[in-house]
Amino acid sequence: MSQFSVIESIRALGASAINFVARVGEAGLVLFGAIFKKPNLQKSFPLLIHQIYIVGFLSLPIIIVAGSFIGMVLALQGYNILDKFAAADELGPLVALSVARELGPVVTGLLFAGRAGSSLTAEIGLMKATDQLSSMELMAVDPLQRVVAPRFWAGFYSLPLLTIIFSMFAIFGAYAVGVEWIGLDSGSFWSNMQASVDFRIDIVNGIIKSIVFGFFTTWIAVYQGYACVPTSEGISHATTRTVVFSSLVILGLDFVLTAMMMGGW
Amino acid sequence: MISQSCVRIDHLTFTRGSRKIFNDLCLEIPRGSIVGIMGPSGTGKTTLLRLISGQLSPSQGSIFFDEDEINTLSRTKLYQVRRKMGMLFQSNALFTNLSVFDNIAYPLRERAELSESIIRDVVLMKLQAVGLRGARHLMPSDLSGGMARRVALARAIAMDPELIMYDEPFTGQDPISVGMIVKLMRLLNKSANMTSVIVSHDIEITFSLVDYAFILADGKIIGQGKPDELRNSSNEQIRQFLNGLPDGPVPFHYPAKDYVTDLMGED
Repeated sequence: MSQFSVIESIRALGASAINFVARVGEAGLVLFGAIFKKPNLQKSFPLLIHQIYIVGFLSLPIIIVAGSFIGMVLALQGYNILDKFAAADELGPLVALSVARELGPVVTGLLFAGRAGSSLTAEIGLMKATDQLSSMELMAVDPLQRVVAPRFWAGFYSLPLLTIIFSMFAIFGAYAVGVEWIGLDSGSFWSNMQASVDFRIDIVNGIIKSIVFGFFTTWIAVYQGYACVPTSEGISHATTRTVVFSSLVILGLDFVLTAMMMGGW
Repeated sequence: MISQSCVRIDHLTFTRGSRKIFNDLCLEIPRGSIVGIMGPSGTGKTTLLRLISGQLSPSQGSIFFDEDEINTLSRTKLYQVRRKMGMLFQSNALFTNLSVFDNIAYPLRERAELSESIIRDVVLMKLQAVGLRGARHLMPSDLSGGMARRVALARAIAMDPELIMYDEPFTGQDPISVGMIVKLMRLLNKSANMTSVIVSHDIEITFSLVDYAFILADGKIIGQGKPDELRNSSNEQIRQFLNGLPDGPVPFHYPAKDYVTDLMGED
C-alpha cells in the first residue's frame, strides 16, 4: 500500500512538472505570437496609447497614495532608529536608498499585479468566454496582435514609469514627515540624499528591476487571460493565479537581481 | 473552375481528450444553398462550425472550403480564406467596448482597404438591412437580445462573405426577433447568393428555411435529406429527435446502476 502511494506521488509530481513545462512553453508561444511579429503601427499605436491610459494612468491614484504613505511610515520608523544613534540627518539617504533600490520597484510591482494585472487577465478571459477572441479570428484578425500585444507593451512601459512616480511620492512623503512634521533640517535632508544616492548604482538598478518586473507581470497577466478556462470559475482562478504568480515572481526575481547587482555584475 | 460544393468534409475524425466527437464524418454543402446541421445537445454541431472555419484542426480527414483544404493552410492563407466566411455566434460576440457602428466597421477597418467615408456608407447599408441604422450610436450593453443578434448578423455580413455560419441563431429570441432573423437569412441567401449553414435545435423554423439538413448523433450523420424526407424517416433516433420524445434510442436516464440497489447502498 505504502509502495503504491509513493509511486503515485512520484507520478503526480512528474505529471505536475510536465504540465508546468507545457504551460511555460505555451506562455512563450503566446508572447512570441504577440510581440515578435511586425506590427501595423497605424492600427497598433492608438491601441497601445489606450491601454497605457487604462493600465498605467488609471493606476496612478493607488501608486501615488501608496508611495506617499510608505514614504511617511519609512520616515517615522527611520527617524526613531537613526535618532538613537544621533544620525537623524541621514533620514534622507535612508528613505531614498530604500525606495530607489527595493521598495519602489517591488511595491509598485505588487500593486501593479493586483490592480492592472488582474484586470488584464479578467478582461482577456471575459473576451474569450464571450467569443470575442473567436470572432476576431473569424474576421481574420489575430487576437494576439490586436488584444494581447498592446496590453503587454502597455504594462511593460507603464511599470517603470509608475515606479519612478512611486519613488518620488515616497520621498515627498518622507520629507513631509521628517522635515515638515518632525522638524529635521531641509538642507541636510536633500544634500545628504544627493551625496549618498548614486545614479548608476541605485536609480538605474531600481529601474532595471522595474523593467524586468513589468515584463514578467504583464506576460503572466495576458497569458493567464488568454489561456483561461472560459467560464466564470475559470476566469476567477486565472485572476487569482495572476496575482499570486506575479507576486511570487516579483519577490523571487528581486532577490536574484539584487544578488546580481550587489555582486557587481 | 468553380467548385459546386462550398464546403466538403471527407472522413473527418475529431477527438477531444479521450472522447471521439466525430468519427469518419463525410458531408458536402452545395454552393448557394441553405443547409441545416441538427442533432441532440453535445453532438458537436458548434465544433463542426469551428472545424470548417479552421479554429480547430481535425484528428484525421480533410475539410475543404472551395478548393482550399482548411486544415493544411498556413496561418496567412487561412486568414485570407476566412475573409470569405462570416459567423453569427450564439453569444453574438459583439465587442463590448465598441459602439454598434464600430462593431460593424471593425472587420472593414481591419481587413478592407477602404476610406473612412466608404466604410461609413457600407456600415449604414448593413445596418439598414437589419433595421438598426438608427441604433448605430448605441453600445452593446444598451441593446436588447434581438437587437444584439441583428447587429451581430450585420457584422457577420460586413465583408460580404461567400459562406455564413449561424450558430443557434434563434436561441433566446422572442417570436418577433425570430421572424426578423429568418427574413434576413432568406434575403441574404437569395439576394447575395451566400451559402448558409444553420446549426439549430429549432426544428420547425430550421426546416422552413433550409434546402437540406443533416442530423448528427454519436459522432456521425444519422440522417440527411430535404426537410420532408427527414420528417418521413423511419429511423427511431431521427423520429425521437424530431418529435421531441423524452425517451427512446437516446435514453432519458444517464447510465447508472440499478435504482433500487443504488437507493439501498452507499456511495
